Amino acid sequence: MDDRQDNELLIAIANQDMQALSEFYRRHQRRVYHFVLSKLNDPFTANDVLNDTMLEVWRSAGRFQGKARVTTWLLGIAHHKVLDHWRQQGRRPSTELDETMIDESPGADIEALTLAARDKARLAQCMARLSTEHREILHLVFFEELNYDEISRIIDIPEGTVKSRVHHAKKLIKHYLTAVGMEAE
Amino acid sequence: MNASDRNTIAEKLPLYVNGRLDAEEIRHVEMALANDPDLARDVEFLQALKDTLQQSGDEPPVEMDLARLKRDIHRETAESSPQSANTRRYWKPLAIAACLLLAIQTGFQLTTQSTDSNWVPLSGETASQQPRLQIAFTPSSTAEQIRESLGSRGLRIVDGPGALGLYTIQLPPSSDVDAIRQQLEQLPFIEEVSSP
Repeated sequence: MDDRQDNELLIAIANQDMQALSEFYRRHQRRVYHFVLSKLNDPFTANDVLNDTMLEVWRSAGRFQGKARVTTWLLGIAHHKVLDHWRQQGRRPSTELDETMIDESPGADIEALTLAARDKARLAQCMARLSTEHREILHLVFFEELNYDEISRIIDIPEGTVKSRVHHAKKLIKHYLTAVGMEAE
Repeated sequence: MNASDRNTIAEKLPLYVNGRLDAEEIRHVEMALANDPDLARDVEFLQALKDTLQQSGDEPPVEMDLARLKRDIHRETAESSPQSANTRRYWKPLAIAACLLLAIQTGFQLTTQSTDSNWVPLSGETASQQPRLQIAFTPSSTAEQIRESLGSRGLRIVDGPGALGLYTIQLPPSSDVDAIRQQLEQLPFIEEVSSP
């Protein structure tokens, strides 16, 4: 991804250039959609929030100051659009995080877990069992390949919290991969 | 390696898998991996997790969603400018009148001058014979509603939205245009259906 071109596109969008918006949209649509989907777990609502996010890009492109990467800024907008969506719905589907409840199984067979993680359907099933926050953090680390500082800016939490959330999300996904494997046997 | 150092290395493993560490950090991590088989196996697990997460097959339809975004921008721009609302009301009948005039003129020319029925477009492509309609959605229509209403009838957006928020929809060949038009007009999230 070429951030210099992204910056140029945002300048053009700020000047109401619809062609620049189309290019920006085609470039980032998949990224925003999958990020929102990781939080909402509903493809239709994810599409609506994607539309709201890109509409906000059209309105706010002139306010982008280049202090963060364009993708960090964009996913930050998407994050806040999801929060808006939850507020409008009057609910938030996630529960309080209890990050102490799962201990890493001492007897967990890491090679079996690695094999399980390569099974797309099984991993999807386990991801769906995670809380929104844990699913989101795994998405940002392993799908977006972002570092902890960038994630901290996007979802507005301290970098230390990002690190501990990644740690607990890893433990939980291992726990669910083991549990789903045992259920299948 | 003490527990604290091990935790620091473990914390960096996702970044190592993603290639987001600098050369010095990579050297530290790789030294630790060489001396700790559990950490090395954890890297394999994280790599598998990453590879599978990145194989998502669920992709949103780009062009339809982009058309919807453009429609919303046109609407928002029109609503934010009181002048443009007046302009829109003023231009709509004018645009329809211009289209009618063009259609009459074309019809006149074809019936009075052209006797050659074997004409083809200069592009060499066969002109589409499939019926079309023009359609406008309400501002609150969702992606799911648009996709369901079009997809279930085999309809496809081929152009738009124009300045008036109209999309051009292509119908399957041999469709009952009037029946589809009536069905669409009854949907609460469709504002207007007309022939192009």
